[in-house]
Amino acid sequence: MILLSDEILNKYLDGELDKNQTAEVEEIIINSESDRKRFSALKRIHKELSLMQEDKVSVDFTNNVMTMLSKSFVIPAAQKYFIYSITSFLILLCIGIVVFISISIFSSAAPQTESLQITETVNRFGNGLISELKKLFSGKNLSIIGSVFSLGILISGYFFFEHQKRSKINLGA
Amino acid sequence: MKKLSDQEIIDSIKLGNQADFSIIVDRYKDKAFSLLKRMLKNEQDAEETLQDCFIKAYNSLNGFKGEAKFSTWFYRIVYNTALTKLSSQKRKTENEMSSVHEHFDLKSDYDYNVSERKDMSEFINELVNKLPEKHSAIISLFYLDEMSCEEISKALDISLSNVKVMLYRSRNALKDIIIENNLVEELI
Repeated sequence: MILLSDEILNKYLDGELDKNQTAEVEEIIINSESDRKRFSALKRIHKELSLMQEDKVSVDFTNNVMTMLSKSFVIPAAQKYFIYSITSFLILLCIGIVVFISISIFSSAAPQTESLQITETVNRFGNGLISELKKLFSGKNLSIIGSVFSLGILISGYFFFEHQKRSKINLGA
Repeated sequence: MKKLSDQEIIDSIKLGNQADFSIIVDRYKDKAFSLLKRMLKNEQDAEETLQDCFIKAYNSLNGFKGEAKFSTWFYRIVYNTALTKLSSQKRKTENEMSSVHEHFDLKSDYDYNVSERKDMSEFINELVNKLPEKHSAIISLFYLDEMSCEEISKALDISLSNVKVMLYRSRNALKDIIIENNLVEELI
């Protein structure tokens, strides 16, 4: 004889017992009024829960979600173009600086006569490079480079802040 | 007209038809809202959290490979977001520790006054709302979404046996209240 625990009753309700156990439970339920009452209550709860209705969200919920999503599409696209243009500008600036240095070095280090030896050319190239770098990082040029880097840092800071802001909005924090 | 499957809609969204996501939202909003409302015990929080869930789901759609059903995948997002929300609000610190072993006493939480008897379905609904969040989530998924215990186990990342224990415990708690208040005859 099995003990009609709550677990057995739940399993019986869900049809999880084998044939023999089911027959035993049915017999107990028929013969015991208290167990019959327990099972009736459980069965009724099961039925009431099955009849539970869904809660409804506000009418414009779908529109709100789609609007939020469309905003999240537009902002990154605009930012992407901005990032591309700034990055292109910085890359062009770097290329310009490199080209300028190279031209300066080669114009000063170029062999005057064919009798100059390769080592002398390399030495001149080295000296030229050092002097150009000195020129580049001294006085007015240093201010320009500093300004360019500051601009880069400011732009990075802006995008970092924007990213944080958007993440917070998306997470609803 | 043929009803598109979740996978067909998701494939369409991935191809660039972003507006098709509204079909998914319409399909799951009420069921997920019911789940969140029972977990968070607050309608406004539930709706706000549901918006976050849909945005998270949209942003993670590329990560959905269709290995599991979309509903299972989506309800996991909903459930985890609700737990995070509860945790961040520190509204119910003790419930953060809730597990299958958690003991709850609906009888002490709910005083059924005979003179204020309401509609039985409303009464049951109120009792379900009093359950701890994991238990009410399981009740909601089992009865409203008609998910099997196996599906709930996958969606909530809880073992099958624990899902069953929580389901039985919830039903038994409701049953005991019904018996204690001599409502069996009335219900039958």
